[in-house]
Amino acid sequence: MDLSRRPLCCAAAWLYVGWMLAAGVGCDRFPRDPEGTLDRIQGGVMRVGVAEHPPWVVRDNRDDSPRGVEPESIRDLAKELDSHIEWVWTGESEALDALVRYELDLVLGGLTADSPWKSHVALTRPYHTASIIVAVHPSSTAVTTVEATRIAVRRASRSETLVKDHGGEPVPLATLLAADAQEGLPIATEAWEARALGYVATGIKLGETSYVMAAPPGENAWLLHLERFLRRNRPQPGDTDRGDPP
Amino acid sequence: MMPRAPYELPEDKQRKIRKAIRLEWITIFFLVTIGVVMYLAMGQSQAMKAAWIEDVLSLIPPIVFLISIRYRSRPPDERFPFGLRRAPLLAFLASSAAVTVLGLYILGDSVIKLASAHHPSIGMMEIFGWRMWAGWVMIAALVYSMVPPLILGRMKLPLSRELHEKTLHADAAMNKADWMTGGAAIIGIVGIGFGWWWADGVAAGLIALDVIYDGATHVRDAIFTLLDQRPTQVESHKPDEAVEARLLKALRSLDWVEDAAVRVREEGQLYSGEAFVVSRDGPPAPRQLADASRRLCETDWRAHAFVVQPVDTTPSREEPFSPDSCRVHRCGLPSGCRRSKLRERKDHEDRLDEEALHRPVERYLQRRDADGRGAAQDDR
Repeated sequence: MDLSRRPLCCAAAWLYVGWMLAAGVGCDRFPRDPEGTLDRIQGGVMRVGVAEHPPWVVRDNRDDSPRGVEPESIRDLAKELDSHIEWVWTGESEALDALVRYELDLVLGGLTADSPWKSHVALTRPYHTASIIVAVHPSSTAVTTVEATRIAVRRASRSETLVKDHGGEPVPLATLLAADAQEGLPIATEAWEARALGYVATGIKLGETSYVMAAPPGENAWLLHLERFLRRNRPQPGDTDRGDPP
Repeated sequence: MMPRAPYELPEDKQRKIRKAIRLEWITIFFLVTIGVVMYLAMGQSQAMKAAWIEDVLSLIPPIVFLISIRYRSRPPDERFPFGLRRAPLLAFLASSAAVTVLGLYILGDSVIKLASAHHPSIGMMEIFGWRMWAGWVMIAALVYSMVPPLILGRMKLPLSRELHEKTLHADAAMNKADWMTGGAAIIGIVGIGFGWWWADGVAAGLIALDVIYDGATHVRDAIFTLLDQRPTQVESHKPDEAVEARLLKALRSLDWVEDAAVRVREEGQLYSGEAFVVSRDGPPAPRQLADASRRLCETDWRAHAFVVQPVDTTPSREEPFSPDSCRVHRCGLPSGCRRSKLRERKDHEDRLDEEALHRPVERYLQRRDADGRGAAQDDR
């Protein structure tokens, strides 16, 4: 389609692009939301789906209110936007499905960047990247290699696979708190959790996991606002957060 | 098996070929950098994906050109007595077919995304600590993707004309038109920015149509040339009448030639074929025919290895040929009879043979003579 030979068509195309760019820079909001999510949230209601996933999303047993890294951070965002949060406790896939239908504005649940949902919903850029490391109890001897070493991991966690991939011998436990009782085994888990458990990092890093939140597909103004907020605030698990319930 | 004489490009064309090769390497370099930049900037935009695929696809023609040009100049040998002059075209046909199929894939993908109302999400990107909407980064990458091919395409077009390189021309034309796919993708992304989620799919569809158009055109041109169509000009695809006229003039200017005709095909960039000459006085000597062939090759740098055949008359069109007509020719009947006519006659003769069993010999001979005269009149 050699349109370049038609100067009129070419000029029209450039005018169009120029006009759109000028309009884009000039207008108050660019990009815009096809469904107007950000406008609706500002001074209105933010519908947030929450799926339990400690420490990112933790359900408070007393009043069912969401706690944890993600809800605490989003409360700050709502304050900024002067909006009221409507929390909806659901499962992860149900929440994401509702997101696709624009029935929720945000889903929290310790989602990871490699989620298979990434082409259906708008995942934010990772707000926290956790290293999966090998750590030892201060009273135990240091570990220098994963190979052929027995390492305690939480059952069915990503660390279990990683230890296996690195040639180690994973010892799956229901809770890492029990690792110490098991003849002082080293543990493999995310760095913040090892710290929270009082373990000492060995310098061995097995991999990393990037945590994200999910917004409705194509709501780019809302997505951009959310991502800017997360970049500014960098929510991350503190030393007081524990993966295992006390 | 007697291989044909090898062909060598004239000095000035060789310089141009070297320039074309250099330009193609530069093209590959830029297309690779563009591909990497676009890949890094690419988000969920369908139009950007289509533009990226288009960019990667436009790597094929320069690669095909560079590879096949190495094989093309191999001298003809026992196994390939006519040489490998057509290697680039063949490679180009295959790659164009692949491009067409990929174009169809992008089109289908875009239509599905549009039909399912897929809203492309484009969020934030951070470059050197500067946070902005990723759409701006994508647009910047697309603008970068538009400029080098445009310049390189313009530089390669005149070379392709001078070298009669159709693959190079197709490549240059694709590069030159590349800015449009970039432009379409930019319009799609700006559209997303305005909240028109469909703008992206529409832009991707347009890009796909452009890819399909390019691919199909190149498939067609490559097939036509491989089917030995009458030589055409690189740019206009019109018959190259100037060269044909020069070939005829060269033959007719020989003092022993009364009339002449040529039948020419393109072999890659070369023109080759047969020439038919009617001699003024008696059959020409082999020396004269060789001289005529040499003169044909002097008319144009592309003309190569013409076979000159002496004929009685120069018909503009030869009679249809079938192996049957060959046999009849051997039997002394005039050549060029249509197959149906031949069969008619054969049936008739068979019938005559049968009748001969029952009728007097004289009658048979009489009829046969009369029939023979009739047939002779028909042919005249």
